[in-house]
Amino acid sequence: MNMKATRKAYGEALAKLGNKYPNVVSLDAETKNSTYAEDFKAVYPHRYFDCFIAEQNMVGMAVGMARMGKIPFASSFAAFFTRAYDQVRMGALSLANFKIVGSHAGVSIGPDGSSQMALEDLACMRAVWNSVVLYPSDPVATEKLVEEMIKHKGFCYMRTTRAVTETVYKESEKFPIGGFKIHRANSKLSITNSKSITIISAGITFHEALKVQEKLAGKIGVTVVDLYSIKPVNALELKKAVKTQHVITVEDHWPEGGLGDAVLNVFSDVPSVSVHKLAVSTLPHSGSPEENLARAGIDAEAIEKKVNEILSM
Amino acid sequence: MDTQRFDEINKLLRYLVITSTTKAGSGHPTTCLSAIELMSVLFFNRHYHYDLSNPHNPKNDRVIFSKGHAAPLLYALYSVAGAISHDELMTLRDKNSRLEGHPTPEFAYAEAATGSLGQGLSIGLGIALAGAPGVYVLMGDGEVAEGNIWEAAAVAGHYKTSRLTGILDVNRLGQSDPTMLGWDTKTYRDRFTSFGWHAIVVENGHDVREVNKAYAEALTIKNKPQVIIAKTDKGHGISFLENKEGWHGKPVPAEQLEAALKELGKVDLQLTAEIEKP
Repeated sequence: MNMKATRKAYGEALAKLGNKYPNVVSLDAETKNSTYAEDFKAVYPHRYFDCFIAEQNMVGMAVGMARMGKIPFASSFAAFFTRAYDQVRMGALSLANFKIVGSHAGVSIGPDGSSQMALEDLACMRAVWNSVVLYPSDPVATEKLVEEMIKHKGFCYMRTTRAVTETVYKESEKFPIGGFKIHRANSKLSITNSKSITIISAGITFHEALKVQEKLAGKIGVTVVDLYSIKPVNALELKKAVKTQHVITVEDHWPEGGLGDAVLNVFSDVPSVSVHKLAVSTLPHSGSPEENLARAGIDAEAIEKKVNEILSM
Repeated sequence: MDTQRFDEINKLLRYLVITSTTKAGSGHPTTCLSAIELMSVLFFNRHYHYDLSNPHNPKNDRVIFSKGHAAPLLYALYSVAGAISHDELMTLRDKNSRLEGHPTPEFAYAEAATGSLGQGLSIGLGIALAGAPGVYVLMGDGEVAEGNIWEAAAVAGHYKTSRLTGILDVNRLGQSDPTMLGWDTKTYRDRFTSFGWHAIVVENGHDVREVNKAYAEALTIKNKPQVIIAKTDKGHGISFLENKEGWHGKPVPAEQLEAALKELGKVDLQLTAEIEKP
């Protein structure tokens, strides 16, 4: 099994793409060995700017560099960009072509505790005017989406994960902004009968959803959707892809404003589909990543419980 | 330096700021009036180099109004430079005008949307580190209470970038109250100096010779960002606005416009001035 954290994949991708895109520059707020911006610095030291622990200034600098035709990628822990939210907001109003990558998102960071966990970043960044919000689930998706961010003109946010996760996708897969990936259950069970359900997630919880799919194989037809593009969502295609009556969303984020709400928006005018949200709804705490996902009710066990609860209704 | 010429330019700038905000029925003319000399000397005495036909010319210097509520002055400067007609200035804040209440990219010469205070110095630092020859950031004294200013000051000091020049308009008055430091330019100087900046105090920010000397000195500084800390009067030039509380964000009422303009004396509306090309 090929395991790698998406934050590491980010650093490697930016370093790899630096040659093809000479205007890309990197800024980091003294977390470069956590976000892996250091991988870019190692190859392009003169295109890397250490901004120290001053995120507001870093975002402002990125907006300024974008005005000069650079394509700045500013990185830090996702949680700490909330303190620069006004600067992000103003950057969007400036029509600036800048990119933010926030690592260490969610309770799955584990023992560092709640102060380090971004649990509102998706809501914040979705609410920024004309923003793109991406949440890759594996290293291949991360690299492809970093290149999409470079090519897209305007503000983009990427959320990366601290923990290592399994590589799911082949190098040949494409990840356009606004897309998603469908993983159908490998079984003969109809995906439209009463014993079927769709789980929509991204990032760390996508892997929990895959575990549920595998465990229930042969009994319940579980379709897993990797919604790596949280904004924009291709509503038309997602509606077509979901063929079950019930949808469960799972996210390592507060219930407000994240992936679950993005999915709810899509199905708000589809009365035949019920959306059930699983998200972090208790005060987070130090613990192992596995313990924290369990406590928050967003691990495979919690998802399976929800599946059984819904299908026995 | 031809100070008489600047007397005429500054009268016209004051006229344009006052009339455009009165026409709009809102805006911050007193905020503009304190910075007239600071900006006119920068623009029209060959300190600022800019290609009006190409805002993205890499050889351009850049100007950012971090105190975005001084937008009417930003527009008036480019009007005197011939880039905007006086008629268009009178569309300030209209729904179809590119001249919004605070600057946005709809106005091609604005480097960024500003008006959420304390952010312009960071944007200027980014522009400087990305290679612009000279970046000038106009800050209000009220907004340097923002932590973001000092984040930018520290990082600019670290990068020792002499391409960045701050202009601190110390007009003493905020929105609802005087600022914490009033006209205490020494404390502002000490603060910036301790962050690794070269600070130049201008005792009279309405004396074009003194302002000009400050810009000339800033140009000689190597390996340090510079800040010009200028003591000014909010509402300078109009007796009933000057250094008075209660006028922040208020245009001259239509019924007082004639009295205000009378204080300016005869204004040459045909006057233009050139921004030197890079």
